[in-house]
Amino acid sequence: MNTRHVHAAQGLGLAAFVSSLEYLARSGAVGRITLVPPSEMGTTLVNLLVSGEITGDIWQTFSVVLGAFSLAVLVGIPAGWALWQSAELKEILDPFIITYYAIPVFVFYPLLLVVFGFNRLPILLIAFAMGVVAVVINTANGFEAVDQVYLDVGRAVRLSRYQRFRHIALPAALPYVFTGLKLGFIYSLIGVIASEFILAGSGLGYLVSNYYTTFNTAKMYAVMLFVVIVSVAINQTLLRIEGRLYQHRVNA
Amino acid sequence: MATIELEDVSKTYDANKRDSGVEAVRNVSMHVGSGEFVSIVGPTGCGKSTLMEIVAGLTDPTAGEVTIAGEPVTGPRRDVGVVFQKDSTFPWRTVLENVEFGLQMHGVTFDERRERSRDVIELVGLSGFEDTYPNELSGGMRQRVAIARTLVMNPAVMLMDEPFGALDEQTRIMLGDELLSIAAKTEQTTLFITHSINEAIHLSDRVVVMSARPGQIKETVGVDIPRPRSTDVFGSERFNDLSERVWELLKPEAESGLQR
Repeated sequence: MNTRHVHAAQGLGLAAFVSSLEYLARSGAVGRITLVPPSEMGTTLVNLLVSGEITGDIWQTFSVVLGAFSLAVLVGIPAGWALWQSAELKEILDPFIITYYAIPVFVFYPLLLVVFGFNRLPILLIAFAMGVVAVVINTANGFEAVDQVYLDVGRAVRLSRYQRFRHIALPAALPYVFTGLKLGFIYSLIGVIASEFILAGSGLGYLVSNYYTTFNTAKMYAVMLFVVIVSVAINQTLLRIEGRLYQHRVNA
Repeated sequence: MATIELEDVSKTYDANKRDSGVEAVRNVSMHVGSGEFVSIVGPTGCGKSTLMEIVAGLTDPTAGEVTIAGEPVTGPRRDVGVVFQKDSTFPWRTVLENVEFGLQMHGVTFDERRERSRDVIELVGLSGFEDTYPNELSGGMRQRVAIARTLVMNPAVMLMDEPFGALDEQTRIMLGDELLSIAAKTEQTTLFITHSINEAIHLSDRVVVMSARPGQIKETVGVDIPRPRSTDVFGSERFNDLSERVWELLKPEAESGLQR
């Protein structure tokens, strides 16, 4: 199949899904408490955005995501580099890193709430905890995968340690590091919204949960739609950058 | 006068978790004259790559000393260029950016490094590919880029570790031929490592035959075929005699290498 056919099939599938939801809701087959027509989700979302009703929550959610993600990068890249530099450190930490994603970090959320109080900090820490290890692992893997011959070229032309890092190891590892950033961002976003959903007083996750418990189905779906649109847009952007980083790799 | 002098060079790799220590090279002494082209042939694992790393200053010998242009080698040198067997072109840089890499790192101005890089790119026959990325080039062309990246630094000594080892036979012969004309122009001293007997004879003034591990020099064979040479030397009577002579020396070593 060529790309145009694939895109056409994907668009058709999505359109069929949305229209069937529209039909189910409009025909009354599914009650309004459960489902509103997608067209109404859209108009409700536009109204929410225009009225400014959810602006504070959008800002709240994305500032925490950005904070958690930045922290994950600031800690994760140096940590990944350290793991590459020190075989001992890697040997010691390996079992912990491998086990890490088997632990649902959300179970610590109540504990963090008790320790840090009912504010943004526990959410930020959960999101950081979810994002940071993806950055660490991918950074370490990226450096690990740097071909020794590249580093030998650097030594042969008498580069300093810093030059070898900056001009050889880093560009060679960059696609992997970026994959770590991409995953780290997405995990941070999931961490923030899920935490807000569980227990918070503001933010997009809180809105979904709040509209749900108050039977405000149209607004609940509108916020969900917003989260989906923004996440997909961010992910597409990151994928595009990633593709550009990989495009000249021999084995890509 | 960039001569290379090896005096009783030995190298034993330290024991680690996997190995009980390996004696790679034992008591190697040799001399490469200024502008001379010398090849080292030997069975797989005879330590010829180790020997080159030592001459390049990338690895320290356990015993003995290497002298280049009269100075003991303590690390990588400005006047020594190295070409590796593995594809070492940087995929994130274009051909031109690859070639100018060393100059750029050493602070040569943009205009000067571009001009010098273009000259060398022409010399290795890659004109027109300046803005191409390595993944769009064949293995042979990528190896030319690696050679150009080394040549641009104007080394008095070229160390080449099976630079054409990963290429097919025809490409290998053609690149060897080009290397001959480049070496004639630059008048540099070349130490060339290969496992191809024909390649060694085609290119060299002398062929050093090494024994199986621990690598020692078994014998040196002088190649008295007049220069300039071309691919026409293949199949000539003198070429076949020399080839046979080197093979006679190498055969028992290759056999003992197989029995390990």
